[in-house]
Amino acid sequence: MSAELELVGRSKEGDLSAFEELVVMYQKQIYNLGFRMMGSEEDACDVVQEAFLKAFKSIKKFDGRSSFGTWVYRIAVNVCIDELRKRKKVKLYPVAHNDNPEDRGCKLVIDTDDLPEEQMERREVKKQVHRAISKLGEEHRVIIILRDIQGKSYQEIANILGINIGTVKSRISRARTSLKEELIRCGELNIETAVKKG
Amino acid sequence: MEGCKDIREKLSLYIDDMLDERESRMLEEHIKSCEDCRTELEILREMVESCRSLEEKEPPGHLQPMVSGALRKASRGAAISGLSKRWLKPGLVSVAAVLLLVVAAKGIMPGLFMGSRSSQDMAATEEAAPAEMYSITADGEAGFGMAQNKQVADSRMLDLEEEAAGLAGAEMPGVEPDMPVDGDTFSAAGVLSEPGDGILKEQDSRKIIRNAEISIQVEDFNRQLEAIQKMVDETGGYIEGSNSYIRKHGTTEDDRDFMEGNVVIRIPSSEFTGCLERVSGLGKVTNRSTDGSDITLRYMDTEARLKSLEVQQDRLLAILERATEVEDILKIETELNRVRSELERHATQLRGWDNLVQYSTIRIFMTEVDPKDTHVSTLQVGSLWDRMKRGFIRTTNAIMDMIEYIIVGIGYGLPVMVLVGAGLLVWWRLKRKNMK
Repeated sequence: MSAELELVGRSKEGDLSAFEELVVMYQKQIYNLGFRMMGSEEDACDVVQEAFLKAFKSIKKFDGRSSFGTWVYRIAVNVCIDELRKRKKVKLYPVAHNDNPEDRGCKLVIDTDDLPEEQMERREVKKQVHRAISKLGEEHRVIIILRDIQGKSYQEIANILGINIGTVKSRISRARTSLKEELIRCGELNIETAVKKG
Repeated sequence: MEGCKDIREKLSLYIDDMLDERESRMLEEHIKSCEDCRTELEILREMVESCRSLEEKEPPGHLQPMVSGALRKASRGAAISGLSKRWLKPGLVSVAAVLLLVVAAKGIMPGLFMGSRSSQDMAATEEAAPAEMYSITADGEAGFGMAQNKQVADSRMLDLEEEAAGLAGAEMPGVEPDMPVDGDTFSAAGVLSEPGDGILKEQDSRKIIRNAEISIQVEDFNRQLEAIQKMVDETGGYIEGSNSYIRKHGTTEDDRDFMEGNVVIRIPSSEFTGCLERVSGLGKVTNRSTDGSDITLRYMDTEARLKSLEVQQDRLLAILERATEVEDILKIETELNRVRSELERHATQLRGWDNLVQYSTIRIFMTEVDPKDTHVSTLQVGSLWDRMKRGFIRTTNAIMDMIEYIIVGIGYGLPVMVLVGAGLLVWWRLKRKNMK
């Protein structure tokens, strides 16, 4: 952490190389956030560039109350949300590029047995989940990504989004419900399998 | 016991271990018996698992250079704008300061004018200068004697020659043909006596025309004018001329008019020094000069000339009486007229000189100024509002002038700005092209 603090300090003074090191530290996470939010690699790259650029421009104002990572995340989330809202106006639905007609009749098969077929099904499931996430509203999408994909703690999420924990709790709950409904809508949720486990 | 609805709400939290012990236990209890809720829990769990299993993607290789490039560009841009910002702020501050100073100067300076002595001095000396010039011309008059004298001398030489030619036998005692023009010896002056002798006795003091210039600052113009009049009367002199005017109308502080003017006094030369001192005492002397022209020699020359002409006149008269022929009479009469007119000229000259010598001239220039000790009178306090108003108006006018200057300045600068703007636009377009 102290190394990060030192890098932040130097960046504030205008040390570009120090900031670039910070970029290296966080770019993968931000890239993934962008990818899951925007749905495409290209957009994800743009998000990363935009977010770090903004961070660099306002590094002097960064007060260190939160960690650098949280701060950059917040910037990145806002970049994504802004872009999504812009695109909504132009009626562009973010669709995953690895979308092929076969997947349209999405089927979520929930199975825990680890057979080769099931492995393939898992990949299917992942695709379906990815697609379902992209159908969510921005708010829910973000929180699913932060919590369930990237595994951020409730507190971290609260810091990133600038909301209190209570709001985080309710939002996660609602987001998951939305996702579940999306998955059901998109395909058939094999309830029998689930019941089987029961 | 909680209903399914409540339980369903808490499932998500349960999955994340965000429920406290009591709530967890309650939920577990409920699930044991409630199949629906159990199912729900399972579904949720699976879903979350699926999400968690989504791989973290590796960013493409070009991402980092892309970001680095963008950052570099940004830092360069920031440096440039930072620099200009650095210059902009002090630039603006200094420009604002200059503007403020000029406006303040315009507004305040005239107001200070009233109280400052130095500017008064300037005004006084400015006025004194023309007065001095005036005195120069007067000196010219006095010195006119010198010019005249030359003419006198020249004409005298001619006369002598004429005399010698025209009237043979006429003796002119005392008038030496070789009378020196400059008259460095008194022999010329002394008609009947020897050189370097007590002719001086005849004219005990030398003939000196005295002049003085004096400029004073007074507090009460009219009162000092009266004082001068009184002094002149006492000493047996007279006022040759005077001229006074309002030099500054009451627009500032005291609502008072300030007078100014010249007085030229003639006083007996014996009283010259005394009067000058008295005048000096009437106010603050800002300028003073005296001069004396010694015209003794010229005077003597002219006097001598006069005398010789008188003699000539007598002789001619005598000849005229003895003359019988008309022709001779006419000739004599012509000559007589000539002599008489010249005589008259000399006499007038001498009379003029007599006056100048007898009465010295003092040119007084007086200017009225603010009294040094400011009396706190109700009048001043009353004018406070007016002063405020005037100050306000003055500064407002100054600001208006400033605004006019700025607008005109914009007119001047506009072509330059257009050119610069065009240049920047081209450069910016090129930049964008390169970026794309």
